[in-house]
Amino acid sequence: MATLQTPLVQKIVNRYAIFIVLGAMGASLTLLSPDFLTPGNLINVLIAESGRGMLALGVGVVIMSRGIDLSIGSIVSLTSVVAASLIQQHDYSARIFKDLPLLPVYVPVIAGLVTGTLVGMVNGWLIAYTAIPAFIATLGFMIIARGMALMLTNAYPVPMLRPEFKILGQGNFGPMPIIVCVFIFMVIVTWVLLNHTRFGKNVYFIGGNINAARVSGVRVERNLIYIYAFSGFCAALAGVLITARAASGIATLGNNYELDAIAAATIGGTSHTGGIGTVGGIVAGILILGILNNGLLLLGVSPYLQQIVKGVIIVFAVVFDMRKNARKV
Amino acid sequence: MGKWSRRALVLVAVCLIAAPVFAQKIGVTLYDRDQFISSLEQAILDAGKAFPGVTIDSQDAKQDVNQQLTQVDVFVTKKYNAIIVNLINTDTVETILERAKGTPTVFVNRRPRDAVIDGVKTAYVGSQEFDAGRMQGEFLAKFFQGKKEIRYVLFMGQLGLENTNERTRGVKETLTKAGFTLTKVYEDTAEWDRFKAMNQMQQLLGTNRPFDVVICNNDEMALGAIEAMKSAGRDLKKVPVVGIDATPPAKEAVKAGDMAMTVFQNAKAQGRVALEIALKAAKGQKIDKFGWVPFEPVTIDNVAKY
Amino acid sequence: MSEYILEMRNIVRDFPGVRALRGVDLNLKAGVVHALMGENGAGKSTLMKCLIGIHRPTAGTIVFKGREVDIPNTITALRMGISMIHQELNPVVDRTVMENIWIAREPMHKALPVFIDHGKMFSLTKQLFKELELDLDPKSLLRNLTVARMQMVEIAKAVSYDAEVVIMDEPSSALTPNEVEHLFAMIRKLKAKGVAIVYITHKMDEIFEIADEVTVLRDGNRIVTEPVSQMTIDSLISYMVGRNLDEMFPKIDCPIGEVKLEVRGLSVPGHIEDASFTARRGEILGVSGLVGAGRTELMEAIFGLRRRSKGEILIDGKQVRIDSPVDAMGAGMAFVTEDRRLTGLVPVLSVKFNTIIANMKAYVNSLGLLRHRKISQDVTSYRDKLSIKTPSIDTIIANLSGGNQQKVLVARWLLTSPDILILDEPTRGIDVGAKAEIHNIITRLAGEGKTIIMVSSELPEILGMSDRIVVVCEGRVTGIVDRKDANQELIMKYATNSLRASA
Ligand SMILES: Nc1ncnc2c1ncn2[C@@H]1O[C@H](COP(=O)(O)OP(=O)(O)OP(=O)(O)O)[C@@H](O)[C@H]1O
Ligand SMILES: [Mg+2]
Repeated sequence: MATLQTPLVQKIVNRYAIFIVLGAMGASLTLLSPDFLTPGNLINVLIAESGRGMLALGVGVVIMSRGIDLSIGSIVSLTSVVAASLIQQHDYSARIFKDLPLLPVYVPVIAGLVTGTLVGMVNGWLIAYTAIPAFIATLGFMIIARGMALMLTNAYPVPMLRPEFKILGQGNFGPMPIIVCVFIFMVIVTWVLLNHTRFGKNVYFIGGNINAARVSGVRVERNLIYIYAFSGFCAALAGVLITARAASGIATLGNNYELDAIAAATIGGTSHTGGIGTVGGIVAGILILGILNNGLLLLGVSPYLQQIVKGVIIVFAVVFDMRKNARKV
Repeated sequence: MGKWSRRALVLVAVCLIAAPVFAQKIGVTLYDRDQFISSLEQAILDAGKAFPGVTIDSQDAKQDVNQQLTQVDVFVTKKYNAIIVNLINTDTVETILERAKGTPTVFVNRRPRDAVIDGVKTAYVGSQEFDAGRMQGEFLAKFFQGKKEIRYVLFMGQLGLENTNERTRGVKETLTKAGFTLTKVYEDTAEWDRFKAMNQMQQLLGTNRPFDVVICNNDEMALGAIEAMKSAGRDLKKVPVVGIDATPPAKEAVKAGDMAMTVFQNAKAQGRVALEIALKAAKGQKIDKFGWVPFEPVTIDNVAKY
Repeated sequence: MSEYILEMRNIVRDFPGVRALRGVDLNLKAGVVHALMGENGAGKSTLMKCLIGIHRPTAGTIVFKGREVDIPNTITALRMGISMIHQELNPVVDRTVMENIWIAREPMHKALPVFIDHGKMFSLTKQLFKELELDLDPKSLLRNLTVARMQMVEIAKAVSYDAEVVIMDEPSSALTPNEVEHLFAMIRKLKAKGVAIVYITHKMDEIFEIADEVTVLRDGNRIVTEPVSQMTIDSLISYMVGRNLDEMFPKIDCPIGEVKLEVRGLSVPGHIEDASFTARRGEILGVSGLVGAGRTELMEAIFGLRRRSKGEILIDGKQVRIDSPVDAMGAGMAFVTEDRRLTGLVPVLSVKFNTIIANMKAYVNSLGLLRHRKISQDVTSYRDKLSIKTPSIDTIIANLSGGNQQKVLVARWLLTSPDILILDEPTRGIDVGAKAEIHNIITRLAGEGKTIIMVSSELPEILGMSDRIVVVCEGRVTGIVDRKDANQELIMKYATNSLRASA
């Protein structure tokens, strides 16, 4: 009954809608600004979005499990000041820990990653075992982690970081900035996790139908802890690298990043009702946001108009993408 | 009864009489505890120690207008003698004064409309934001002496705030008056944020558009711009970056020659003056409408002082 | 070792406000199909959930293969060799068939055991389907399957555990006769392998076809356990309801009036082609066909839930525009949907609010506030009329037994006093007693001059209740049969008509 089928072209358009939006934005910017389609500029877009991109990967996985993680922005802040405070130059008089010996560069990195992952695990534990909604648990940690960051630093930046740490954020690995390499690596890791491991399947099962998962023998609680720990880890990784790049620990770094990351995941087709989402979609979502920011910068659009343009394009992109779900019943 | 005990008695008596006069309670509500506000707050508390009998209750409204209003309500209910307000939003000033129910109110650092300042129950303590921009302008005018055109990059703070607008206006007007033609290369908000400014700067540098100067509404954004320019290998001596606030890392950058200049806003003085005026107003004494604490330009020549 | 592979002794299970099980014994033998019967809410599912580790018995012991066991969660039960087909379907609809089957025990790569071996998963699924003679694509999404096919996936999944005890909680309720035969063939194979099977159903005829032994529960008590050979339908029913039942299909002939609803040339892309039929006042119009034939889609299109590409709907001879359920309700229609979980229940709300949800308007006073007393009165009266078994009308509906949930949905739509009542599988999962009650109500409504359209996969129900029968096959109306001409063979012929023609 070929006549009753949806045409193939339309199927493809529906399936890859978000990538079409991305392509269309890229194409129009290439026409509008000669500076857009240069390797340098594209790499700059990637550099700028790598941090938020990692956050989006983590929170995307959480959203697929029908949860939410509002604490990631604050985890960035907390890791930022934790890592930075351990690697300040010794000739800087106002450093946080005055008696600290010169530590090898992996210490602040690991300390940051552990901090973020721990916060994520506690989030996951609360959600799994106390039945408080993810929104509340992670909102709590959004406030707590930011508070800890401010308390640790008295709201002062943590500047004058040692160059061997800064290189993590500013250096290159071959032709590619390290931060971009790490982002690409995390994209691959997340893709493999979601598509080729039990953990990934469990994310989809828990998000799609938590009761089904439970009666089928999925250890729901344990997996929830892994899920939020993963999100915390991604945020911590972003926090460490952004700190290295900004060459300063900042307690307000990552303010509102959770919203950008959630927006990117959502633009990329991750469903808040759980069980649906792809890594490709999330990457497309983050690139759409990044290209949008970059394009507005290149075109010199007035800052006031920018906000309107951004809002319109984001909503349009999601509407275009959602048509695939728009069916009756 | 010896001489000492008589003295003690007198002292106690004085205290008993004096106590009601000096026992002043001052409520402070801050927009948020960022670095600048924290040192302003510390200055208020320190200044308070000089006045025996003065207790200070300092609260942080976490950028939430409602919370600020509630804090004012609480201060009034507890019958505090005066309130020091660091506004979140200048539009709420009428509501705040209404809620203050006649309690003397001193605004600090964020400036309300002049019309609400009466010099009896209300006053404003701060620095003229315009001056900060003006000082950047004066510095740059000297730096670019002999040039006609300045191609500028400008990073603004949060849009719609008075300090963003005034600082921007200050630097632009001063340079125009000094006879320069200003050509915009890039002008956008980086929301006071170092990392945002850094990202924008990096993308801008990628386009190779030439510019002569980077003007920033605050130091954090200036530091972000500097970080991006350094990693792109730009010469910071030829293209000056100017900021405002004179934060510790900014002063380090000035010392190192990375940041051409910044402007010191005297948080300590603002805090101290605010408390002094609040105490005066609480006693019903005449006060000035404005307590201006001047900005001070900071360059490599005088940075050691700060 | 005793002759039983599994013994449940004196099982008690309490829920807030109800004692669902009051000391029940159940003994299972290897290679024996043990039917579990009882009215809605008798405690059948609860007893089985105690076995699979969803509930913990408040008291009582479980002995498996001679050893007393504790089953704290489902994982333990599955590992021990007990699997279950759940009464409420449990699909993860946005995942594939094979992922649903191998959930939480995916085959891993030999060399790199952290990674799932999708190739192996695919071939295992293929193999399983071949064994079970199922024709399903392991890679298609569950969402794209019909309810019946989802059910077949659930069955395949339960079998795939290679369990020694397989519990089937109303596995046939969403299946057509052909698929039920298929299921029985699978059960016989399992039996031959020595698997013990618990089979729960409300369909009497199935018991006599497949079961070896029967246990009847009533109100949480075990009433009797006997070999099927010693039972008759009548004795079984009286054990279940505690009395003799009146007529199962209380059809009375009432005067049939003029045409109320006419459907002309209706098409839904991908589902329905050019369907036309009429329904009259006072008539019960049965809609029959195989599962997946498009009966539900046809009803949804009439009720404005699906976009039509062609076709008209006329009520009282006048064309009406129906683009949404609101339009349909405005035109005097009501629709009891087929899948209570997906489109019927609001599981977290009370029985009360689930009942009035389609009729909220009638319970709002002039201030726009809800009239709680009137709501309670009406809901209580329907609870009594349909004998809905619930601790109270404020109980969360998710806690009711499946059959009672269905009755609440019927009550919901009766409350709107519609002129045209469309019922899609109105008695699925409902016990004999309640079924007779619902049939009674349907007959009474027809007697009041209402138009009833009843979709059902149960031929006896269709034949027993309908004045005329519309048969649907592959999206087309292939036949309309009068009551006096109707018989099982004729209907099945129409229902498979084009299947044979195209084969
Ligand atoms: N989670 C629960 N909370 C409260 N009460 C419950 C819960 N689960 C079941 N019950 C109650 O326990 C009783 C037995 O329910 P159960 O689901 O076992 O019936 P059933 O025999 O399977 O009925 P059906 O044939 O309709 O499926 C019912 O009165 C039901 O309301
Ligand atoms: Mg049941």
